[in-house]
Amino acid sequence: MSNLLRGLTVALAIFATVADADAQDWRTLTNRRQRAGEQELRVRVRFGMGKIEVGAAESGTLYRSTIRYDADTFRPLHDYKAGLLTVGIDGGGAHVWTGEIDDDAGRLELALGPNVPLDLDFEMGAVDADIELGGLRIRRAAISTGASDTRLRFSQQNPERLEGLTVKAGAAAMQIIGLGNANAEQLSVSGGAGEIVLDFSGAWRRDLACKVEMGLGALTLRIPRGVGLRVDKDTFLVSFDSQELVKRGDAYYSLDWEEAEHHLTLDISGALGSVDVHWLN
Amino acid sequence: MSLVAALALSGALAGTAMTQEPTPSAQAVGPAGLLSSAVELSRTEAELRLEFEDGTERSFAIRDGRVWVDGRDVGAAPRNGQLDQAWRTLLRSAMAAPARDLGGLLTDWQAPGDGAGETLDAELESALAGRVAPVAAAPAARPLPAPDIPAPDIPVPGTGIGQSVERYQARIEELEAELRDRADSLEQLHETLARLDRDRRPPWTRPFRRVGQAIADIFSIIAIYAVLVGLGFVAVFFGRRYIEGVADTVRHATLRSGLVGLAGGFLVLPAFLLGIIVLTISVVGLPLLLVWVPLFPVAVILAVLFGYLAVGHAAGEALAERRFHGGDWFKRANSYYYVLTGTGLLLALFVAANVVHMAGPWLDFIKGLLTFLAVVLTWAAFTIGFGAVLLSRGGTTPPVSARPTAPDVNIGDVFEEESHV
Repeated sequence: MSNLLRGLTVALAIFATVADADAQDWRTLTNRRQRAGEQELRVRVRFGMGKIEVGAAESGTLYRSTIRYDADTFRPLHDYKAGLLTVGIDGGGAHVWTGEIDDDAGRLELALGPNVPLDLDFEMGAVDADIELGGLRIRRAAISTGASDTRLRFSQQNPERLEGLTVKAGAAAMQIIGLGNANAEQLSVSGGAGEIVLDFSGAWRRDLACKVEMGLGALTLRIPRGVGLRVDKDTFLVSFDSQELVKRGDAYYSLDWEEAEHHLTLDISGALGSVDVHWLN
Repeated sequence: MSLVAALALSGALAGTAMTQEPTPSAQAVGPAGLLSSAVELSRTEAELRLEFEDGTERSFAIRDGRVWVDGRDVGAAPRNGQLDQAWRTLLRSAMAAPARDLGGLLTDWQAPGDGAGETLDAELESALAGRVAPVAAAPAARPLPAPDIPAPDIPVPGTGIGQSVERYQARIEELEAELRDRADSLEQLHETLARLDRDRRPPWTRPFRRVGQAIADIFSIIAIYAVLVGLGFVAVFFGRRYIEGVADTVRHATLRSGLVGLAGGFLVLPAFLLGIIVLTISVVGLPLLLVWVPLFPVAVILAVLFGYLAVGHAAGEALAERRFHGGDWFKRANSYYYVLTGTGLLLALFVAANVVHMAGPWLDFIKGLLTFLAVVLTWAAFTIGFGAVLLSRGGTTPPVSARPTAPDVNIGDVFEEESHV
């Protein structure tokens, strides 16, 4: 938000804070469900503002969610029907966002069963998100954020073939760690403005085609040695650090492209910023 | 029995329990096990809802000082009373407990006192009877070596030894619950420290974040500018005479306008309240309250906004006079042009502050200074504009002429000494 708007809304924010301080009605809602023969779990997360943590639940559990919210401003979302879970926090239109994500904005902790294949659809706004997908069976995942600070990790191998991972970020700081463990075929990342870190470490089992669209910002790529890399880029005013890459035709290739067991193809488009490649030993 | 002996007995019992695998009879019985649970905690409510595999649903709650079982009021449980606190502690533990321990945790709970608590406890146990396993006694844990003490008598509940053991076990459970709470607090502390550590990172490590933030801010200012200019054009189109009247007042009675605006700002609320009181007392004016209450604030907001645009108009006019003095451009300049340039002038400092912000943290002092000046300028523009609107009665009667004519004074006459002869 602009300094002008900040300046003009300071009085309103103070007034709203003072007026609402006593009126807040904090609630905590925990839901858990055991697995009962589900072959797949589709998970829809709708979360406007606050902190969100996602991880693995204990074996036998289908999901467990804990929502902490101010009932005066927000409304909890929880619905489970026939393999479709909808969870999150709705509302918050009257909440004055001052640019910081604090505990006043609510919190969601979601643990998903490690034994059931998952189809994830996350739509988040101004959030501080910590999403650990390691240990889960992910088939499809679409994650969309607004002005957020998001960390998405695959700390353990995904036993399922991840057909597609789509990440859309607005003005955000986004880190995706351990993409080698994701067992993904396709990855699509688009960012408006901000810093994006893509870490491709992990145990590779198949080739990955990755498309990155960035508006304004910095893209950092961490590639493990031994993975063949090809970069196609269509950029404008974007610096590209092409260390250990050779240019053939319009594309850049790693030196071991032909011999590598697994290949990563990166298609990068962007307007303004930088692309840095770091090789991991 | 002495304290040491009682603790030793307790340890021996725990050790024995840890060596045992759960017996078949302790596992879930029957097909209708616990399928899902929901726990909701708030200041006034602590509710547990259970759903079983056969579709049965049960609810247990303490809400507004009453105990409810499946929607039935079964008695009182005063807020912060013994039962209320014990129930909340149970539900907090249930939120954190692993799924395999949930059923046991609920069935093992003992309600303090009798009456409603006893009913709640009994209903909960009957709901879960035969459906869930008791709390697993950590089968994966390595069994502790049995302490080298003489085998004690088997404690009988209700006897002296049995009561001691029960008391110490209850105390152990309390301490475990406290430990869990402290572990949660410690985890929160770690999170806070991690966040602080992230925030403490020097800002120069995130240059693109600064650039992105500044560009976003500039776009916000441009959007505000576009809205203000649009409103200004509307004001000029429909009320050119009035906006020019206010703008002339701003230019030629700036100080008076500022003082009147300042006073007007302080008097707005008392005037509003006074109007309500007068209309209420007069009885006949009561219907006018329906107009006064909503329209007075709207009128004030419009006056402030109109005044700000008039200040922009005045600033644009002054700028045009400086830049195009004596030229053809000045003749072509008009009120639209004045609003366009003047409003931009008023917002220019905000843009400058954001441009400086892009340069990095080294110029933050200058950025802060520019932001401060921009806020002061905006406040002054609103105050002076509001005062000018009041002084000129909305531009209908500007106190001074728009274009003051040169005084018809012969300088020579001023200095000429009058003859008194």
